[in-house]
Amino acid sequence: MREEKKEYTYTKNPKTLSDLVVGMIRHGLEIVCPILKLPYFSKKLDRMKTSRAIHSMAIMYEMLCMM
Amino acid sequence: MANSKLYEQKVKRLTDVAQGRIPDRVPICAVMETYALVYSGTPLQEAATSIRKNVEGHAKIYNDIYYDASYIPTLTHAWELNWNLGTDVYFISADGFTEQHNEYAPMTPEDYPALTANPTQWIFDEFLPRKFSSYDASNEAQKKAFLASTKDVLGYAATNMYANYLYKKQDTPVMAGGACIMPLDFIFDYLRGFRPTVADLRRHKEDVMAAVDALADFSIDLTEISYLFGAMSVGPALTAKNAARKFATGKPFEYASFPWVLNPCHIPAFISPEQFRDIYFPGYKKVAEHIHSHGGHLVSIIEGEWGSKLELFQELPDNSVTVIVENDDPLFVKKAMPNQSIMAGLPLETLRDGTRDQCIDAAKRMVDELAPGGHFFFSTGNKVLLSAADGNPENIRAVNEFVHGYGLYY
Repeated sequence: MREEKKEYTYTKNPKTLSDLVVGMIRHGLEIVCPILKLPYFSKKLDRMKTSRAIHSMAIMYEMLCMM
Repeated sequence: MANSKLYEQKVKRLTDVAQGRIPDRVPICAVMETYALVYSGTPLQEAATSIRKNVEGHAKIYNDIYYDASYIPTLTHAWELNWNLGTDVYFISADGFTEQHNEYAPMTPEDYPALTANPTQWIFDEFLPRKFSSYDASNEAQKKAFLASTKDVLGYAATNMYANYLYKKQDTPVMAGGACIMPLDFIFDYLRGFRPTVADLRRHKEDVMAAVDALADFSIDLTEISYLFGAMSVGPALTAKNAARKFATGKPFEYASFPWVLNPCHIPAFISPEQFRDIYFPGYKKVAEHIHSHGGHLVSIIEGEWGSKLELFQELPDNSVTVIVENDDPLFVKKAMPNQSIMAGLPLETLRDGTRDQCIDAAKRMVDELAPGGHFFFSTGNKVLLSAADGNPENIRAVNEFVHGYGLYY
């Protein structure tokens, strides 16, 4: 028996949920601390998605949503 | 808040058994979830929406009936978060106290490679939008839903903080400092569901094995994060140190000898001994050994009947795991894994329908049979207590008082 494939709305979004949330966090940090908009810090923030802090926060959120 | 002498005494009794030493007396542990709410008369709807009612509703029974340790301090699920994000996976039974869940497992076999490549990212980007209607929406709507959900996340953290305070205040150690889901149970419980997972073990065995391997690291990470939030009773110094390790430095996480990590095991009762050995146990072993080597102790609820599968537990480091026995014969389990501890209690039917004397006789036989040599915790029943029908509170009180007095080692 083939499993039924459901049509989802989120698949049509330009950004994935994680990109969206990381973008929101970055935006919030830049509002609180405008110096982060400088090119030096901006380059560092570009790598934020792969940071340990974001990874742990994502797992924490997933834990609450799954369990 | 400094720990009282009674609290320290109870924790020593618990850690003595877990670490293979003979304690002063047999520790009595609750294996109880929403039964605690029935006892305190706190409907689940109220507990799910009020931090105070959630914690106090669960804690009352431990103030009235003797226990060396409670099981969980509050509701296990973040109900409001689930409701507000739009899912009916969890719902309240007609009795108003018991929690139930619908199976909703939106992963397909084609998703295995992406899950294996990066479990954290796949769950965030694919699983959450499929599970929650608020996330199966445009980016704008997702943004609003995420911001709104942070209130529920903070509420969950606050609930844990209040629980840690209250349980310590009433001298009740909480057994579960964190939660752990084993890799194949993740697929079974949350991602693929019951029948598809069992079918995948035959039709997509290689995919499942690769996913189990990838999910072991995810499981370790998730266990550490849950311990960080759930085990604040270890004190602010270790909590702060572990928070820095998880969120910044990346240094190895450190568990305390108490509280422990609670791990419900669901799929083993439904798979063959070969599937257990080849697919389930490697992931289990990796996670259990990791927790043990970082100072922690794993308490696995072996749901259903496991039989000879338990003999593999001898491969685990000594005193790394305690199993909560359900349908297996506790004496068989104790003999099958002599280097680990067991937690076992009376059949729920006896606690519910038996007379006080019948319950005490059964408890006496159990202590006589299982306490010699240590490695034994007495627990409330042979299943998690959930509803009013699961046990007569007067029988539970009588049994616990009896075992506390009778279960002396010296």
